[in-house]
Amino acid sequence: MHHSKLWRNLIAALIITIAAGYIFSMWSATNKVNPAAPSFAGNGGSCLTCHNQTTPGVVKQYGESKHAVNKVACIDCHRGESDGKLTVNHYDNNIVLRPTPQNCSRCHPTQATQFDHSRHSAAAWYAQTGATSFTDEQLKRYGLSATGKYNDLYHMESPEITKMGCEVCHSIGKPNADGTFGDCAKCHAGHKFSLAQVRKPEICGSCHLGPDHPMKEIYDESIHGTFYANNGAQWDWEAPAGTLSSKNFDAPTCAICHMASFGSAPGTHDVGQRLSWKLAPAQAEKRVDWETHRLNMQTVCLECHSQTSIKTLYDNADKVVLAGNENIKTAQTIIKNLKDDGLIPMAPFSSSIDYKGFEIWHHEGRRMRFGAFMNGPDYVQWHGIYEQLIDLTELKERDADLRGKAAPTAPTTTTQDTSKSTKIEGR
Amino acid sequence: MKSSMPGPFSYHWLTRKPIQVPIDKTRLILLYLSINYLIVFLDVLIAHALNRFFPYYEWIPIIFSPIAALSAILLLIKPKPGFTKAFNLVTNIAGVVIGILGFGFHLQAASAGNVVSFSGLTSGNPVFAPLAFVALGSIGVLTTLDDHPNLKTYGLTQKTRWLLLTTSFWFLATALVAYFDHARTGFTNSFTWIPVYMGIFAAIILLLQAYSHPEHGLSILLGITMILSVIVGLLGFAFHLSTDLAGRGSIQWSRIFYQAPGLVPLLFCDLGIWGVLIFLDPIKEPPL
Repeated sequence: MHHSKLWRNLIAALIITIAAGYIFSMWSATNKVNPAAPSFAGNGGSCLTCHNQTTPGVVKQYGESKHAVNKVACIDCHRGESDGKLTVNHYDNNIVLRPTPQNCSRCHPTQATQFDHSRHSAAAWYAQTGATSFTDEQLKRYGLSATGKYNDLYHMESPEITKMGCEVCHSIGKPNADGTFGDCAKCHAGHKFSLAQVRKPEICGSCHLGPDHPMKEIYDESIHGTFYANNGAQWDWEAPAGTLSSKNFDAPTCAICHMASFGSAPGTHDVGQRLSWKLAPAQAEKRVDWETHRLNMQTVCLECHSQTSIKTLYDNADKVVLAGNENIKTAQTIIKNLKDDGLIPMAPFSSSIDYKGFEIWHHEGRRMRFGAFMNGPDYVQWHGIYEQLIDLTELKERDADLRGKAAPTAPTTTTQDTSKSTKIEGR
Repeated sequence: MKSSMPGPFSYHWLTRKPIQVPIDKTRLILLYLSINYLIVFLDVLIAHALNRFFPYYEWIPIIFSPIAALSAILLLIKPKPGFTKAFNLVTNIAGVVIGILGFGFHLQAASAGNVVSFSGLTSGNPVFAPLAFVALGSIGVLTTLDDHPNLKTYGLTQKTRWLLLTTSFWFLATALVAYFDHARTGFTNSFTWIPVYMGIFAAIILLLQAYSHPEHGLSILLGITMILSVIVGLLGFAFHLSTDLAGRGSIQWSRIFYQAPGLVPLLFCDLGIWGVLIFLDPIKEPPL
C-alpha cells in the first residue's frame, strides 16, 4: 500500500517555490537598474500619468519607437546622477532634461565614440567660436588648434542673432555641462528615433543647404536625388543596419554615402571617414589618411558603379578643387595686399571687399567643390566658377581703382582658339 | 492506435470509475502538439519580424514549425510504423536541436563581449523562450516512441513519467522567461511575480508527480495546479493588454506584440492543458 504523498509533495513544492522566489528577488534587487526611482521604472510607468496630458506628442512618438518596443524606459535615457551637472529634481527623481551623448553611449557606445571623433562633434562648435570656448585639455583631446581663429561673422553678429542662426546647426557639436560635446537628437529626432527619418536626405538638408554649402540642393539636382524623388517611396527605409545594399536602395542618400553600412562598406558615425578632402576651409586640403578615406567612400560607390567611372569622377573633381584653390589664393592675396598697404581697413568685414573675398571661397568656392564631387554641374558652373570669376574680376577692378591704376584688360581677340579644347564631341 | 476502439484512461484516481475518452491519448497529444507548433510558428514569426528576420537563421524556427505540425498531423492520420512515424521522430529530434541552438543564439545576442550579465538577460531578448522547442520536440519524440503499459514505475508508464518531466521543464523555462522579462520593470508591480511563482510551483508539482504513485489527493493537487496555471495565463493576458493599451487613444500593434507581449501569458494556459493531457495514464493502450 502506498502512503499518500499529497502533503509531502504540496509542502515540498511550496518550500522550494518560496525559496526559489526569494533567491530570484534577491538577485533582481541587487541588479536593480534604477533604485532611486521605482515610480519611473518600466514602460507605462508614472511618467505617462502626467506626460500623457502635458506632452502627448512626445508620448505618442515614444510609443511608436523601437525604444518602446525594446523596453527602453523613459528613465533609461533621462537618468541623471545625483551629483550630475545636468541633473534636475523632477518630482523626487533625478533626471536629465536633454540627454547628451553620454546618456546615449550607455547603449550605443560605438556610435557615440565614432561621433565624438567626427567633425560633427566639437569641431562643429569650434568652427564658429574658435578656441575661446574650449579648455586646453579639450583642444588637445579633439586635435583643435589653440590659435584657431573664430568665425568673425559669428562674433560680429549679436548673440540674439547667432542663437537663432549659426548655433542652431553648429550646436550639433555644442559643449554639454557633463563634459561631452554634441547632440545626437540633432539628427536622430526624438522621441521616435526613426531609422527612416535619419536615412532620408531631409535631416541632413536641414543644415547642409544654402549659399555656402548647398549639399541638399546639389543632391536634388543630381541623378541620385532624381532616383530618390522618383523611387524613394519604395525603398526599404526600416531595413536593419547592416542589410542596406543596392538590392533595397536604388540610389544612395546622404546617410548612405557618408555613414551607413552599404553593401560591403562598414558603417560609421564619423562623417569624415569617407572624405578625402577638407572642402570647408578657404584653401581646400587633403585630409590625413585621405587615400584610406577615399577607398572607404569608393567601396560604397562600387555597389553600383564601375571602378573606371568612379576614378574618372574623382580625378575630375580633384581638378575642380585645385582650380578653385587658385582663384581663392589670388583673391586672398589681393585683399591681404590692400590691407597691408592701408587701402582698406584691417578689421575683418569692415569693407565690401572683405565680403566679396569671403564669398569667393566661402560661397562660390565651396559650391563648385561640392558640386564637383556630388554630381551637381549647375553648382560647379553657374553657381560656382562663374560667380567666382565675376567676383574675382570685380575684386581686381576695385584693387585697381584703389591703387589708381587702370583695370587690367584681357587681350583683344575676335576669334576663339579651340585647338586645345577637349569639348569637341567625342573627346 | 485504433480509432474505432476507444481506450479507457485514468483519472480513475479522481473518479471511482475510469473516464471513457473517445480518442487515444497518443492521438490527443499529437493533435495538441500540432496546434502548439502552429501557435509557436505565429509567435516566432511575430517576434523575429521585429528584426526583419536578420540574421538569416531567424528563419529556421519559422520554417521548421509548420513542418513539425504537419508531421504530427500525418502521424495522427496514419499512426502506423513506417514513414510517418520515422518522419515525426526525426522532425521532433530536429526540434530539440533547434531549441538548443535557439537558446544559444538568444544567449549570444544577450551577452556583450562574451559576458552574460543580469542586464543582458533582461535586455528584451527572451533568452529562455527557445526552450519551448526543446519541450515540444521532446513531447513529440516521446509520443512517437512505443510504450509498455505493463511496465510501470510508481504506477505510471514510462511515457507518462517522461512527459511529466518534460512539461515540468517547460514550466520552469516559462517561469524563467517571465522572471527576466519582468525584471526589466524592476517588479514594481507586485503582480509580475505571479507567473514566476506559478511556473516554479507547477514545475515542482509535475516533477514530484513523476516520482509518486498517482492517487486521489495528488490528482486533485495536479488538477488544481493546472487550473491555477490557466487562470494565471488569462490574468496575465488581461494585464499585458491593459499595459499595452494604456495612455493612448489608438491600438499600437507593435506594443501588443513586443512590449508586454499579449500571447506570452497564454503559454501558462497552454501548459495547464498540457499538464492535464499528459497525466492521462492509459490503463490499456496498444503500441504504435
